[in-house]
Amino acid sequence: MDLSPEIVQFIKEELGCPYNTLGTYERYFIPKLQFHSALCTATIAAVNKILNPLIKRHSDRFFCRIDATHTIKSSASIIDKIIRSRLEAEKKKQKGESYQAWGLDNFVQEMADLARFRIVCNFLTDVYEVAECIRRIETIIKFFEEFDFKDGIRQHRRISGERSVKIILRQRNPPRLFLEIQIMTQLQEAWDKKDHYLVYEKRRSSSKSDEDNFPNYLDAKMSAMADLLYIADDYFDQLREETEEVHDK
Amino acid sequence: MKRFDDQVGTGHLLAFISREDPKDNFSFFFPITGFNDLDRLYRVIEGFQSYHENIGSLGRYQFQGLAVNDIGRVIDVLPEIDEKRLCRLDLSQFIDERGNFVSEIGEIVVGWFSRSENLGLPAMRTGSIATGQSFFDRDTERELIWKNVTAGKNILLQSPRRYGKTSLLKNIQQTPLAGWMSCYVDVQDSKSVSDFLEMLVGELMMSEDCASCMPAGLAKKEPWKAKTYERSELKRKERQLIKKGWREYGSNLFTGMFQSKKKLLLIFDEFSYMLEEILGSSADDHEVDEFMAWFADIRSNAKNICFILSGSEHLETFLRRHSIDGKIDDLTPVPLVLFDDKTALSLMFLLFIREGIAVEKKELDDVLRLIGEPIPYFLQVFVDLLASECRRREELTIQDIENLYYAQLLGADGKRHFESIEQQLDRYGHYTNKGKEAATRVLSSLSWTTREEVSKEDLKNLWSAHGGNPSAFDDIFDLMKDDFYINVDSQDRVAMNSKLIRDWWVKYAKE
Repeated sequence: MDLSPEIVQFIKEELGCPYNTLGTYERYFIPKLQFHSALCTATIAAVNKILNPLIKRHSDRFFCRIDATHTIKSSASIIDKIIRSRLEAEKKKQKGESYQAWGLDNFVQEMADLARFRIVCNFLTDVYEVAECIRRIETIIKFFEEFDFKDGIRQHRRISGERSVKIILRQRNPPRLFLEIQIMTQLQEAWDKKDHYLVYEKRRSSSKSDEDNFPNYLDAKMSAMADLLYIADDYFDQLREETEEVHDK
Repeated sequence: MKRFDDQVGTGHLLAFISREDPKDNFSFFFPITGFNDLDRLYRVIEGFQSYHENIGSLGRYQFQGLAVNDIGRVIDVLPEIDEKRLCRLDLSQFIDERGNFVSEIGEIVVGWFSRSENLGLPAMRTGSIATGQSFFDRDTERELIWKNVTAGKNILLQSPRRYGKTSLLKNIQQTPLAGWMSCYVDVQDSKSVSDFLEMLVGELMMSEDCASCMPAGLAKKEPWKAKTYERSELKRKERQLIKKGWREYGSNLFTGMFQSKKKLLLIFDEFSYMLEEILGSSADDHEVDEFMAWFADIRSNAKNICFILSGSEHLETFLRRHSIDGKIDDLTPVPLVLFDDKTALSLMFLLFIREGIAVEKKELDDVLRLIGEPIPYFLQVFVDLLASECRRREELTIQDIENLYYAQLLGADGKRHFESIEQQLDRYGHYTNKGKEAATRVLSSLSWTTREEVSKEDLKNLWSAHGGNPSAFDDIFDLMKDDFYINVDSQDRVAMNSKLIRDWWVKYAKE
């Protein structure tokens, strides 16, 4: 993985020996994220209990699947996020606003997306069905507080970004870690994978400003693709309803 | 102990992945059913993490926990994971009643899988030779044997019955050091020196590597390529040559071997048993004497060959008993001792895992408490019994384990495992008049008493009181020591070391 000069500098300056080299910096982060990883496992197990009956109910078609391939944020992404939050804090400070930046002392407790997993659904309506089911799982309600619920599908705000529903949970008891569940359609997942390669990684590995690195018109094209796929998803939902009506008659 | 629930595919993978070569990795999968498992999972992660940080040899690995939605498809998600070094475990095995991580169990699994040659788990092998994946431990003995062999020494490997001598010897034969070839010969059925030589030639014929060590005329026929019946015919012809004079044939055979440029390790298993057989069968009273003198001469002239002789009973005792000068001073004794408790614990734990059984440390301790000294054969027999019962019943309690020990292992179902006891007693009967009856009394008495209560002298008196010939007692007692795991301390007090054998005698002792 290419690392931007800022990340390399961070590793050298902020991580103590023996973690301040490119070969060893991950050894600093990985042990700190073990409990996040365990939290993901337990939550996936709890979610599976509720998803399996749903999958059974929709046994005539693909309903959803859990993707647990990247449950823990990469060390480079964490550093990147810390650096960006500091820049943001600087900007806010100049405007006279207060902003709590992340650092090595607080990222474990405060970063909300260190642990996450994804549920990929077939239809848009499946996304909402899954999201509502998860929000009603008793063990999850008992264990977590719902810190945030972001409907990035119907209330899409990002200029460039996949349309997904994100449920951000926080443990009710110490160590009060965060966990993020992303729910999206297969089409948006496909978009996300392309975006990861075309935009996300390139932005992170470059020291140039976003505009130089990835011109606005390309951003607009990526955004248009996400919208296009959203329209496709929406259209598929309508088609499904129509075919089901025809079938029921 | 309980059967693994193979239906649970969601869980946590604790992976040790080499930093240099990610293909070198091993991992443990813990099925997780929800938040109720989380605290125990945290403890297990902490336990392994601390173990990883404190054991220097694990430094080359990155220790990482990974959420797995479906272990059956782990390769799709984590292609670098080595499935042969992936082991399914259960949280209950690593957390004791007080909620602490059981580090001994952590050490066992990490110790086993961190050795890259250990693919998978050791396999159960009850009653037959443990080879390949069934062969366990014995690194110390292997090293000691090869150290002596490479120093040009001949070995005398001795231990009581069922300790795993043959398995060790087969392992040495199958995995020789570079530059060595080896030949294993089980000479137990040899009733004459001719038989001994025939068996040796028969084994040499099996391998092309040994071509330079067999008679030139025979090697030309490439017997290792021959079909079984063709080989039998070749063997028959060699037998005829041997019958004309074993000494001449044997000397020629070894002279040929001496000229080979290869280094050869010749392993003769059950050597002392063979001598006993020859003594009992041969019409010539001096055959063993002559053979031992000839064989000692061969060994002293062999520059490129090393020998391992092995036997359940002590060769020296046998030779002394029969007033034979065996000329065995050149043999370096290597004892094969019992597994220590830690090794026994490791073997049992790994065997249970392979059998799909999640066993806890306290249950393993209980198994050891019940059988006493961990004689490898009986250890595997008991583990095998428990594993099959646990698979059948899904779960076994400590009480179940105890019941199975007394009712099945020591019961009618386990009788076949103790058949050798009757055979040994018959053997004592052949040695000396009333030997069987008197030995039975001695062994029964030993099974009831503790070390403090009985001395060798007491047993000799008992032996004599039941018709045993006093002059034969010492010899029979030497045999009994190896056959029935009897130990004599420095103060001449005697005890039967194996609790299992003691329990068997208590149950079946003939008064």
